[in-house]
This record gives sequence, structure tokens and C-alpha cells, in this order.
Amino acid sequence: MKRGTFTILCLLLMLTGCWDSNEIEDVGLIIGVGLDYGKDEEFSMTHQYVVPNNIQGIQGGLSTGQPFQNLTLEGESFFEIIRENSLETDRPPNFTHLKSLVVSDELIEKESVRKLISFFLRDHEFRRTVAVFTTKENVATIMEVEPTKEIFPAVQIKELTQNNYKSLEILENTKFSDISKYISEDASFVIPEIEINKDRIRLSGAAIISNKDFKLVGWLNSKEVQGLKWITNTVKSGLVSLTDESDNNTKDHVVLEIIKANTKIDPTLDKGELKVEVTINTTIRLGEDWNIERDVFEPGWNKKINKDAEAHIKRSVEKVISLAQEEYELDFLTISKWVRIKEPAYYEKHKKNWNSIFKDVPISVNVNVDVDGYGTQDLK
Amino acid sequence: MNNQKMSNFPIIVFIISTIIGVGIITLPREAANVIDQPNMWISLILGASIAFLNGLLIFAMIKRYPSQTIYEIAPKIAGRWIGSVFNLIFVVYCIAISAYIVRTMAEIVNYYLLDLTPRLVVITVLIIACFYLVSAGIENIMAFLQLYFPLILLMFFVLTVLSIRNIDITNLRPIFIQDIGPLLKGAKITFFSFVGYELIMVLSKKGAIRNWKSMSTVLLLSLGAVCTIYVLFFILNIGILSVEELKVTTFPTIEMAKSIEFQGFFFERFELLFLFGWIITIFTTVVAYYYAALLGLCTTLNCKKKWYLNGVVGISIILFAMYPDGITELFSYGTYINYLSYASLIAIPLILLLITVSRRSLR
Repeated sequence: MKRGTFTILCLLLMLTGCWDSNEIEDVGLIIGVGLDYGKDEEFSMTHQYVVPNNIQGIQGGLSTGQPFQNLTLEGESFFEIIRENSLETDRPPNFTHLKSLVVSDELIEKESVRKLISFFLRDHEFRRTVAVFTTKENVATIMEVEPTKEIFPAVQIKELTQNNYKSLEILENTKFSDISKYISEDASFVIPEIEINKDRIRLSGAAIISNKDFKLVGWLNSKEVQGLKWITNTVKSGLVSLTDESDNNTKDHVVLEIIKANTKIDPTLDKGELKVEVTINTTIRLGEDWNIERDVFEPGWNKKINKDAEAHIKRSVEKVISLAQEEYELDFLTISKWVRIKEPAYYEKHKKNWNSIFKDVPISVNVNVDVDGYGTQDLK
Repeated sequence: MNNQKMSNFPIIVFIISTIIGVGIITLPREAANVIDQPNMWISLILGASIAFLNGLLIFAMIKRYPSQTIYEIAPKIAGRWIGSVFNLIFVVYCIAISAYIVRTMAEIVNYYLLDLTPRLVVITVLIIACFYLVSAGIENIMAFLQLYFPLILLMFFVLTVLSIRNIDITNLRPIFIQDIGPLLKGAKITFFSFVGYELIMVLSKKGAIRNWKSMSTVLLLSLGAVCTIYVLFFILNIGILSVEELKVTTFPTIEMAKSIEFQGFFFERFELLFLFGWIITIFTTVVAYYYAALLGLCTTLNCKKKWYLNGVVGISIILFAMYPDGITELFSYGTYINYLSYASLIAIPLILLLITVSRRSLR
């Protein structure tokens, strides 16, 4: 008898399983969010909803519209805007599959990224892998741009950086987790920039966020991004093109493909003075060569290429270092990380005033290029 | 298994399942706040060593009275009244620690899984399951733990494999910092994450462990296994989130699981799967303490009707668990529980041991 009553009681409790049920058809999945200043009210927020009925393919049905719908709302705070969604759509917004966040440059110029991001980090719905981008364009417009290969603009934006191993100009995604890490470590960082180029979304450069107040202080163009990639050891592959005029090589296009690259940052203490040595080792292969005279079967053919490539890489790295040290006086090159690892005691002592120390630290750059080969055929 | 001597393996499983619980999710943050060094996982090994020594101390005491639990030994050594007080302290400790664990679980379930379900319901469901399992006796608890043990290990394994590629090695460096001070201070915290082996005092009724050799094997294997899992998770946590970030993340391991994503195809939200597995580890921990508390009450009050006492233990765990107002208060109660653990893990066994030794030498 007792056992029976107990079993029934237990079975009754099983019913609570439905307490939090939320039918998947009724969920408004949001895959992209854009933040900007509003026209009438303080902020505007663009939500990119998935419209499942319009996704072509699986059912083979005719789609009548776009598979996504952008909803731009204005309000005094972002949380309020999210709640305001309910006034215009019958599906509660669900952010668990958010892919990318686009912030306008005006917004991060005046508002601290720390404040903007804190809401997104506090709420458990947001994933830590959401990629953050900034743009000089209108945020609502850039999120409307027809994607080329993907179904949704938000996914397209996020996946743009997937090719970061192909090009020197593509940074890795700056994710929520990265931003939160930089902010808790009190470090400056960069956010990749996107722009509209001939009706398509395109990665262009990066925005520098200062660690003083976490606001936008400047931009890196795609050339300078190359230097940043070298120094942060994120180069996986890409091209070194020696066609710059300053390379004394104007007539002969020489394009080299990077096979392997490795950057070592070595801070050393010399009588209490910090010194940083950047050593870049890279293996490249001749990709495109317009110099007909060059005979790759002759020993020593690669000497000139070697020298030019070394100078080229060194120049681009030194450019970004001088930007960091002289123009912005901010360490967005993550040098501080290596000081923390190699000279922990020194870093502990100077953590607080790292910015003022960093701008005077002598940084020397060594580049060692190894030309690995010339491909399958050398046409004469 | 009835009426037979237990072999070492179920006891090892019992201890491992008891130890692994809330610590795996909250410990990285607590440790990061105190130690603040990327090599803080060394502290875990120190904590495990202290736990090992403490375990030997406990065994030195219970070895003198084979086939008896702490609840029978204490009145024998210290006299009926003082012994009962010791027993009650131990029972309160078991109830408090279960309450703390269930409440933390309820908070996490509330954050990540069921945000509309009241905490009380989540807690009650778990406690009713405990009630049922404990009423079936220690043999069945052991069988249950062995059944779920591979599942728990598998879940840890999958989480490790999936998140290993997110590790940023630079977060873990430098490994050799000369500053030992914080590591030692941190051992005080990590030690508490190994709490659970003291239930060996309750298991001794079956006459499971008789000599030093098997006892040290059991302790070494179980603490070693837990220490390995913890060190692994610490390295993952630090490697993925970095020390600075750990300090400000409420539930680091879940956030770490949240970072798992494979670009290109839709594999996300692994943390939900991880949480389901993790709730089982919480359940195994609470069941063990629940059983210890119930056995203590029964022995001390000399009562036959376990049915009622079982309910009393369950309800008091629920009441204790609902007492803190919020998660910050909850974490601050953790320190009081640490005092209780000092009392029941170190003080009581030590006092009992000293009394017996001095008595024997007086004779």
C-alpha cells in the first residue's frame, strides 16, 4: 500500500517536466544583432530573425521572401529594446543561436565596450562564441546585405573570418569570450571591421579599443592588420607580395606564399630595463614570379627574394609597432601577455602603469625568411 | 553482495562519486580568486595530499574498532553524551553539506536549464529521489553508483575532448613561478573540494577495510583519480578562460562548455548535455551524505522506524537549502560549512584517537 502511494506520488512529480516547455515553432530565433545610436531615442538595436518558412531547399517549397527578417527598434537601454520586441512580433526572441554582433563605430567611440558587452555576458542565453564586428556603415543597412554563399547575413559576417588562414589581411574573430578576457585583463584589443563593397559585405581592417576606457581610439587598415597578424603569431598562411614600389622591384612582381610562420616575443630585463625582441621565422614558397631572368636551378637564386621578403615583413611589423607605441600609446599587440609569462615579477609590479611603460620599451624585430621552393615548374 | 565483505572497488567508486560534485564547477573561480596564478592547479595536488593524510588519520581511529561506524565508536570512546554530541555534529555536517550542494545545483539548473521552475521544486525532486534510493539500503546505493560511474567518466571525457582545441597555451604559462605562498594558501581551499572521503567512517560497518595496505590503496586510487580529473579541468578552465576571466565567472566550467562550437555545422550548446551528466554527479554526492546523516540519526537515537527519520533528514535538507536568499549568500555560507568540515573531518577523529591512545597508555 505504502509502496503504491509512493509510486503514484513520484509519477505525479514527473508532470513537472512540462513546466518550462517552450515549443520550437514559437521561438523567434535571432542569429544577428546590430547596435547603434537611435534617431529618436538613445539606442537602436537591429535583430535578425530567422524565418524558417522562407528557407529554401529541404522541402523544395517555393520561397516568397527572404529567409530572414530584420527588426530595428529604439529605446533607452538594450534590455528594454529586447522586451519591446514583443510589441511587434508574436515570437519571444531567443538568443541562444546568436552568431554575430555588429556595433557601429559611433557607438563604441562614445560608449565603453565594457558597458555594451556586460549585458550580453551576464545573460546566460548568449554564447561565448558570438563574433563581434564594427562598421562605419549604417548597422541596419549592412545587416540587410544579401549574403553570397550563406543564407543569413549574420552567418555570412561571422564566417568571413573563416579564411583567416588564407590571407594576411583577415584577423581571427574577436569573440565575446575574447572581449571579456581582454576586459578582465585590462588589455587593449582590436575588433575586425566590415564594410559594404559593391553590395557585398567585406572585411576591411580593424578598430583599436583602448584599455583606458574601452572606447574606440583608432583604426588599422588592412595593410596594418598584416603587421598585427605577424606580431600576434596568428599568421597561418597568406601572401607576401614584393610589388611595393619601395621594394625596388616595381617591374617584377614577386608573390610569395607563406607555408609556415612563427613569431616569438621575448621580453628580457636588462638592469631593470625592459627590452622586447620579436623574432619571426617563416618559410615561404615562390608563387608568382615575373622575373624571367631568374634561374631557380642555380644555387643562390633565392638570396634577393630572401632579403626583400625579410625587409618587407620587417617594415610591416615595425609600422604597426610604431602605431602602437607612438601614435596610440596602447598595447594592442598583446606584448603584455609575454611580459607576464617571461617576466612575471616585473609584470606584477608594473601591471597598473603598463601603458606608460609600453610606449618607451625598445622593441627590436628580427625576420628570418626561408625560401622553401619554387613550385612544380620554372618556365623560361 | 549481501552480508559479504565488500571489495575495494565499490568503495573507490563510492568515494569518487561522493567527492566529485559542485567543486568541479565552482572551484576554479574560488581558487583563481585566492591563488591568482596560472599554475594554480599545483595547489590541487597539495590539497589532495592533505586530504590523503587526513584520510589516514581517520583510518587510524576506526581501525581500532573493526566493523563499527563512527556513530558507534564515538559514544564508546568519549562517553554516551559527548559521543552523541559528536555524532550530531557529524549529522548536521552531512545535512548542511547536502543542502549546500543541492542549492547550488538548483541555482545552476535555474540559470541554464529551467528558468521558470521554482528552485523548491528542483530541490524537492532531487531529494525525493535520494529518499527513495537511501531507503533501499547501502547495497543498492553502491550498485547505483557503480551503474552511473562509467557514465560520469564518459561525460568528463567527452567534454575534455571537445574543449581541448579551445585551449590557449599562453594562458597556462608561466608554469614555474617562484611564488609558493599563494599556492599553499590555495591548498586550504582545494582541500575542501576533496571532502567526501570521510564517509569511510560510515562505510566501515561492513568491515570493508581491515588493514593499512588496502586503506591506503583505496585512498590513493580514489583521491588520485579525483585529483587527476580536477587538474585536467583546471588546466582546461585556465587554458580556455584565463585566470583573470575565471575570477569573474560564476560557473567557469559551464562557461567553458559554452565555448565549444564547431564552425560550419550546427554543433552548439554542449553545456546542456554536460549539465545533465553533472546533475548525476550531484545526485551521487547527495545520496552518500544523505545516507550518512540518516545512519547517524538512527544509531544515535537508537530508532527502529527509519521511514520517519528518512523524511526528517530529507525535509531538513530542503529547509536548509532554501534558507539562503541568493547565490552570493549561498557562497558565503560555504565558509561556515568549512568550519563544520574542520570539526568533523579533523577535530572529531583526532580527539577520539587521542582519547583511545592515552587510555591505552594509562593502562
